[in-house]
Amino acid sequence: MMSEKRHKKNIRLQRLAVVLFTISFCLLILEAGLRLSGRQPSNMADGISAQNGESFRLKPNIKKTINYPAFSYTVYTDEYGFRDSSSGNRPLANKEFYAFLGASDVFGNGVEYEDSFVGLFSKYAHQKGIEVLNLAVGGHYFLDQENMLRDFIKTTKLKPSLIAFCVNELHIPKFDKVNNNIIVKGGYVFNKTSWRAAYIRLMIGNLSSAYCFFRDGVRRIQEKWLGYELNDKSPEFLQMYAKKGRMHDPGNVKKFEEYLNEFKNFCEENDMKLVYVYIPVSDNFRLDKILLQIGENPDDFDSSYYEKMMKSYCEKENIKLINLRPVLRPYYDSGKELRFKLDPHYNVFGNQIIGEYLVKEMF
Amino acid sequence: MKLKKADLIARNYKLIMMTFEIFWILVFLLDRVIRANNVDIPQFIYVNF
Repeated sequence: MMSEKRHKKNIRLQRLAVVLFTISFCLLILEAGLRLSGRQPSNMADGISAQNGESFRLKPNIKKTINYPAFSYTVYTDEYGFRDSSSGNRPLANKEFYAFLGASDVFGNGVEYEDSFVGLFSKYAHQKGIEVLNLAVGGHYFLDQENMLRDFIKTTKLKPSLIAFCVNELHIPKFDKVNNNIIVKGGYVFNKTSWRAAYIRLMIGNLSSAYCFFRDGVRRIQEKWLGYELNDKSPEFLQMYAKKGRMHDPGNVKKFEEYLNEFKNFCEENDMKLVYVYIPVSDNFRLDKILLQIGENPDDFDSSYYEKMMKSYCEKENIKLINLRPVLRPYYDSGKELRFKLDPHYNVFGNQIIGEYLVKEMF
Repeated sequence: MKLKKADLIARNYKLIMMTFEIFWILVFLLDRVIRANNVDIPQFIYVNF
């Protein structure tokens, strides 16, 4: 009786082993097939971030090549941890320099420094004897950038003569937020309270194309068949344009303008000329198309709201605003590709349009 | 040992083939889902939250 039970258990274990072995074998074939067909693991980039108090910034003096399915590019940072054309020392004493503040679009996500609009602007500024610092970091909010600028001024005793503060609809609604619960592991940025599982997933994603394949498939199923509503969990892209979004509340607009005024005062106190640069998110121009595709009513959204908001504020306070929306729009309307196919950041062409317009407006 | 392995495969041939088929059918279906023409709503994920 006992022996028959044990025999059955052995057979079950044997079958399980056979199934696991077959699955492992299939996974190996899938891994090889995906890699051979060019579908590399998605997170192959080395982390480029460093802890900065409760927030994060870029590591100083690095050279890292980033390989995503959407693009490949190399990031160099200078001694201060700002993106530059090469790593190393950056003598700024007795030199005039400008500083760009912003997030990933200003950092130049996806493009080489020389092709980014800050890089293009910098090339022209050099001819005029002006250095350009790019303080922008992907994932930073306005307050993170302001803190970095204040730290830089405090530690180096150097001040830029001009601040180009680049704003967009993705970051204006978060004007009062700051990254303050961050942990950096292996150069990657995580939420301090739940970093372990995310870190493990990222590491597996670094190693296995098969894992990325199943992960992306499951995500698409969740996205397609499990539905979503226009609430806090809906895509951020839609939330930021919704007329019921937080920046349509006059109280929040007032708070935002108070924040801008404080920053303006800080610049005036430090003899830094302030220029706002409004660069719309690349998909701003196709918002209506996306809304119609998913069955939303375009009347509930406004893609020009943030442009109008910045125009109104800058006119009121007599601050120069460089508005890229009317500059980029005709290119989109004529069918030119301004962004990467797999990523909403501006491509080389988009950066070129922005860079050339900035040069024209600022010199 | 070789004989034992061959014997094991022979005895579980049906199970191996079934696992193999289910795996590749799943891969095929997931691939269809990934490649399907979804509405491409831009996602802005720069940090690993």
